[in-house]
Amino acid sequence: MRLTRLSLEQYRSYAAAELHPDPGLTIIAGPNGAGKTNLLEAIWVAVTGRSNRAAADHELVRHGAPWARIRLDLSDEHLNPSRVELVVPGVEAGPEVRKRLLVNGLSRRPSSLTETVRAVLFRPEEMLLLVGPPSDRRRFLDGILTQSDRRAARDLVDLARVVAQRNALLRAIRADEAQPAQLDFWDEQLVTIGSRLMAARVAVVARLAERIGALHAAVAAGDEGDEGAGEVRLEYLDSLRDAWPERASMAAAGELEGPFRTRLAEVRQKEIWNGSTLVGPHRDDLRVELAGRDVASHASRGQQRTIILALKLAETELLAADRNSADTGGADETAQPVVLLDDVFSELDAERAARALELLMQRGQVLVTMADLSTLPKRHRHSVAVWQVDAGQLRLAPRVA
Amino acid sequence: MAGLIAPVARLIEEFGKLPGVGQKTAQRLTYHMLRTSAEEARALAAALVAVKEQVGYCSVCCNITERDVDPCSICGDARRDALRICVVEEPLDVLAIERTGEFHGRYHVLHGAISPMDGIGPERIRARELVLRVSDQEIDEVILATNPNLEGEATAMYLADLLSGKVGSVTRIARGLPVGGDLEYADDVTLIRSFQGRRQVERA
Repeated sequence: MRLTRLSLEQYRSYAAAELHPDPGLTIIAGPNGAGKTNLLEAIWVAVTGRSNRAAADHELVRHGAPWARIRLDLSDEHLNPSRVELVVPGVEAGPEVRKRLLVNGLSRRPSSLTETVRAVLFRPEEMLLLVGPPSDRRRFLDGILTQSDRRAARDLVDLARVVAQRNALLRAIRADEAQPAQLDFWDEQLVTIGSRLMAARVAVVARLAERIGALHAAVAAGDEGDEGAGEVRLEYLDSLRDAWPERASMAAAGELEGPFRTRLAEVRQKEIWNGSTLVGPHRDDLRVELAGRDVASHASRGQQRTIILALKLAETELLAADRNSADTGGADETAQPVVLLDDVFSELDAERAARALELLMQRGQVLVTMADLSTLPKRHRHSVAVWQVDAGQLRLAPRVA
Repeated sequence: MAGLIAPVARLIEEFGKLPGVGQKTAQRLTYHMLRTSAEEARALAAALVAVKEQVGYCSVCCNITERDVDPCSICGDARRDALRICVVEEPLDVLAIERTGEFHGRYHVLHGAISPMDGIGPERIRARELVLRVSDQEIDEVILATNPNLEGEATAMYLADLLSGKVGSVTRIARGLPVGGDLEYADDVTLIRSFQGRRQVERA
């Protein structure tokens, strides 16, 4: 599926805007704060059903407007068009305006679009993926799950609620306002949903691991000296630790439930003291090693960036591959995701940026925002359409000189 | 609020406290009240006061009832099956089930569901009243009709434990596909639940 048109009404800084992405590479340029990221966000919102940075939907609506509308025109390999329309109510919206998603005029559940088209979003913050807190790496894994596994997507929402309820109950027990026996129900939910999610994440890590070696080598191809040398290993670090020694080889949710219960029983007292749930997918992490050493503490910045690019490439491949297995079509370009690169080239040296862009373009339709066009790899500077954003206006700029 | 005279601002504020009513709607309701006749305004005010003064809780099922009708009209109806109790979260749930005409027993209204996050533990719902009720009299079946969400399930499980051994049987309403729905549009969890709860086809 390929994006042929993005059109916005009353969305964030835009009263109205229209973008016709190129099948290959599209550049969105403009000064900082002009609204470049809003365009990528709009695509992300239409595809996944929610924003990656707005806390509430109404933040997406232009100030003073009752609603915002995002339209995506898509086209498959036979050039069959489909049309997606998402309406998001604003603060001022009357009760008749509700969030709704139409696909070819038919009403669908928001977030169900990932069966039709998928997106990979690459933000500059993700350059810190390997050294940042574990929650960053969980979000990376969950971003893949949300688009490829409907059950896991729902489990993630439920888990957040179970953990919040359970934490409140733990605090009530600590204050002697509740009985420990009341934990039984929430423990059971935590174990059932948590085991399913851990198994789903372990499976995603295994599939990323299958791809990371080749992709890492491809990105590192031009690195100087032995910067790119060494094997990359990915390991899902679960909070069941001691209870589940052979974790790497196990992935069935049913097998995790027993150890999960055991571990919960072990930490019960500590959980009550802390007033928080200490075991579960919300405490897990992804460990990345290069040549047998933890990258967060041992790899250079350059090495880390190479690995992060390889991870995002693997994510792109995985979201495409997943659709192939579900479709009858096999490996055709329609399964390729839309890749949204939000100002990431400013974080990369020219060599690495050029290689990364090449590799991403082989795997998806690419839209890139940048403040400074000189960060665009040289060989693309003359061949690519550039859309210029300024003060809420979007227009196709003359080719870059 | 700037530019508003005090009585108007006060009414907007009061309307704004109602569930589902935002600033805009509160203003609209207020200006509507300004345009209506004094009698209508008085009738509304009287109805508001009456709902607090003349409505109480049934001493048997905890549902709302008129002050001088206790037990409530359902609990006081001798034709209804006294051996079956349907447990629901809110008075509105009773109305929904009554509309179906399918259930002829009596109710028990919990006035909430267990939700630690909102500070609602088992002691905050009318569970103790239910236990007293079933130990006072012989009950064949208690049907747990709390909502099929996390809090409703937590409540159902808590009550099932509490009631076990005290009544003939404890049942939970079924979860699954909506009538008139399409399989292909059902979400995965609902579909899974309806498979888990599948039944033998009864031959005519």
